Amino acid sequence: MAGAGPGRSVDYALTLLRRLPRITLGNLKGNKEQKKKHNYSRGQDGGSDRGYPEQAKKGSQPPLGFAGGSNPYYTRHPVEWYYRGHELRRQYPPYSLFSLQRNIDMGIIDPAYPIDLVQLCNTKLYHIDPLQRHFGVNLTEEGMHMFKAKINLEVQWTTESVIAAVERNGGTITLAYFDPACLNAMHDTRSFFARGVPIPRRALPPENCLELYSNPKMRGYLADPAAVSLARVELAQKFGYNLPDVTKDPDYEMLIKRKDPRQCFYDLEPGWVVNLKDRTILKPADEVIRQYYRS
Amino acid sequence: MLPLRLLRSAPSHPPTHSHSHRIFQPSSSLLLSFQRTYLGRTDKFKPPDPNQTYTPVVESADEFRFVDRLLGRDVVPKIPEKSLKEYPTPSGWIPPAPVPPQLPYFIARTRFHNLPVYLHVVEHSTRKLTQVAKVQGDIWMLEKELVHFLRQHAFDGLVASQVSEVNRWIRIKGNYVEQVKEFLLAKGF
Amino acid sequence: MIIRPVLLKEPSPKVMMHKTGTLLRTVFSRSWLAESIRKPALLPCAGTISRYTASSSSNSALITDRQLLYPPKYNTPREAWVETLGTLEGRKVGLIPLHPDIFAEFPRIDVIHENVKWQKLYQHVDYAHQRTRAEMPGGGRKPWPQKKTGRARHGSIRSPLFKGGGAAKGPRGPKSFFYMLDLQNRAKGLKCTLSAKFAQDDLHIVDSFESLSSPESQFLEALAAKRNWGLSVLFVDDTDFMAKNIALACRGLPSFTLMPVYGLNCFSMLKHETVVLTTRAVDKIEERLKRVDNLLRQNDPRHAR
Repeated sequence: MAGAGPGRSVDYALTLLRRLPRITLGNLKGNKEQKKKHNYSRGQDGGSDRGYPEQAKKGSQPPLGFAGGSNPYYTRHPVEWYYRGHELRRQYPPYSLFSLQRNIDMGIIDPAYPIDLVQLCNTKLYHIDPLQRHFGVNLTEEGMHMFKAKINLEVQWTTESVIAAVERNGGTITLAYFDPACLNAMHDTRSFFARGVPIPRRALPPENCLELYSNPKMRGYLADPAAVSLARVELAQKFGYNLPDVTKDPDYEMLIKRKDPRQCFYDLEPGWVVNLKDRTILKPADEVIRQYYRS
Repeated sequence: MLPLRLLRSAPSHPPTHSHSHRIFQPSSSLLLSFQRTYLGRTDKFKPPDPNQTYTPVVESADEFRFVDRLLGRDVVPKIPEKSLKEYPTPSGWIPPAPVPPQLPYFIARTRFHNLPVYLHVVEHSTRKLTQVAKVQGDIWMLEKELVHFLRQHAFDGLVASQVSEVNRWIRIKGNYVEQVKEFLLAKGF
Repeated sequence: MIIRPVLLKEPSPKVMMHKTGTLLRTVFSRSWLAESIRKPALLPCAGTISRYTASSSSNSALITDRQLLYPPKYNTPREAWVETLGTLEGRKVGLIPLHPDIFAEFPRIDVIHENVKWQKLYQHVDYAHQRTRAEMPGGGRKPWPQKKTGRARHGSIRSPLFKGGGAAKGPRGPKSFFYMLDLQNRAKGLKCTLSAKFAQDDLHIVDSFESLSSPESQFLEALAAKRNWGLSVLFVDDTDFMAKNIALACRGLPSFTLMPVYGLNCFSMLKHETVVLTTRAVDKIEERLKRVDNLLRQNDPRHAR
């Protein structure tokens, strides 16, 4: 076609259409191939396959794993117990620092507010499924060297290098545990608020990870804040960067914002019911209930 | 219609139907067994107790602005000004040229503002294909230029390519994703 | 039975169906072309936006300032006249840009076909049901002894072998053909249909349905005839609250349909020969269809409905 630029083939098609009959219900035609009809083997000899496809389901088939009579594979080998309980272990789907940086660059995640699991799931580019025993986000090291954002981050699993990468830029990172009831609320906030049930009270971590979430070196949310500050300095020395002073940062208020150990969502207390339709929040007034949620 | 259990006693007023209406009054045990079989528990259809109270609540709209932040958005947001001015961004993103290049072809960005260059790895195989999609205009011209550009990167100087005019893509045999992106960025797409 | 306006002064630019079903091409008449009912020709990419001025000598200012949502950076917008419904002939009161992603989409006939097929099929229920031998009345007893009768052996008079017997592999019960076409496909179908209608001069834009001056059906019919709109017209407004005159006028005309934007569908657009949109309807259509293009998660089941 003479002339350059976008959309030329479209113009050609539309110009052609002007001289063609009006497109009506009687003019349409699909593009997909006809479904292949199964030619059942009929005839005197009965054919080569088994009559009709449904017969394979109906006919008496041997049980799964059956090896024709000899000892089947799955009973030959002894059971290995090293993976026992694998289906009960906690899982943390990975999310890289590179993805985080890219999403911040493209405006999908706003670094002006604290970033937690809720914000990551709201991007619709990262998903967790509490029913699959996903307990949160595992922030990985990929993209560590190009990470430049200054953020307040809350994740569920990470490594020292990642903590260093975040703190090097003047940000803060916290490791926080959320129980499955809270995760159910957090991973899909719209459905949760639409349900009209109170925001759950976050439970403490189970025994086998209580130590991790109380460890200042891993920036656990249950750790002593003074110990965490010390650990930040130590990590900066270990990795060899200058630790920026968070207290002198203009975004100080945002960077030190933390959730209460009983809190799922920033600025919303457990026990509150959100009314999406009327855009109000219902807070329990009964003292017993309030004590429960605040304890 | 009156619930069946109230028909156990004779009604105080005759029914006001125009047509004749037979009122059955079976024995109590038969009635109850009928109800249990076909209607389930008899208290299922009881109206709610007006004396039952719910826990008191205080309704407020002050904190609802925090809820808005938790709901997320549906559409792709606008690119921040900072990323448009200072590029490549830390993650390596480069915006398209503000004015489209005057070339016979054009490659639009995806809805996330990325280049439509993809690596296809054929299943159960090591065969790799680099695909450039969303090609508008003279696709053959683009193919010629792309192949010429990639010849320098090819091991033996041979580049195999495939063009789909209807679906508007070009496929190159091999993994040349980075090189193709470099080529397109240089053109201003 | 509706009395149609019989003779059109100018031959319709559309190809006329021959009785045997073959299509004849008509030559576009110069006089018809000069009438400027036709929309301005498709612009090359390097051209400026408003190349054409209103041919009618209207005293009031033209509506030309329309901001496109998600303005197209690399495609030129298409243009369309904005008419009024006040008189039979009407006046051109504006020239507005239309988003090329919606009104100049590649006309994929197969996508339109898929949409129309879906629209017809998802509501369809096949009520055919045949009884099996177990459901047929009787047939519990062996009709005659196994041996010695000289007849074929049978166990039941309702077996499929028998006349009046049950069906062996017959249709079973009400069968639903419900399925949902993906949101992207449905949006594409609407874009392709709108583009096709626009390209074939079957899409007209009107300032508002309030401008219709008379509630008489005959007036609307004569108006459509005068403007060569064809036998059936689909009027689309942004909301389902319609102006009084047009509501009354369309009530008596089965082939003139009033529809809000949320009811817009490929089947109706193709069923009616002409589609008439208000400027507000155009705004809403563009907003809704561009939103689908920019969704974060394209296969979110929540959006599928």
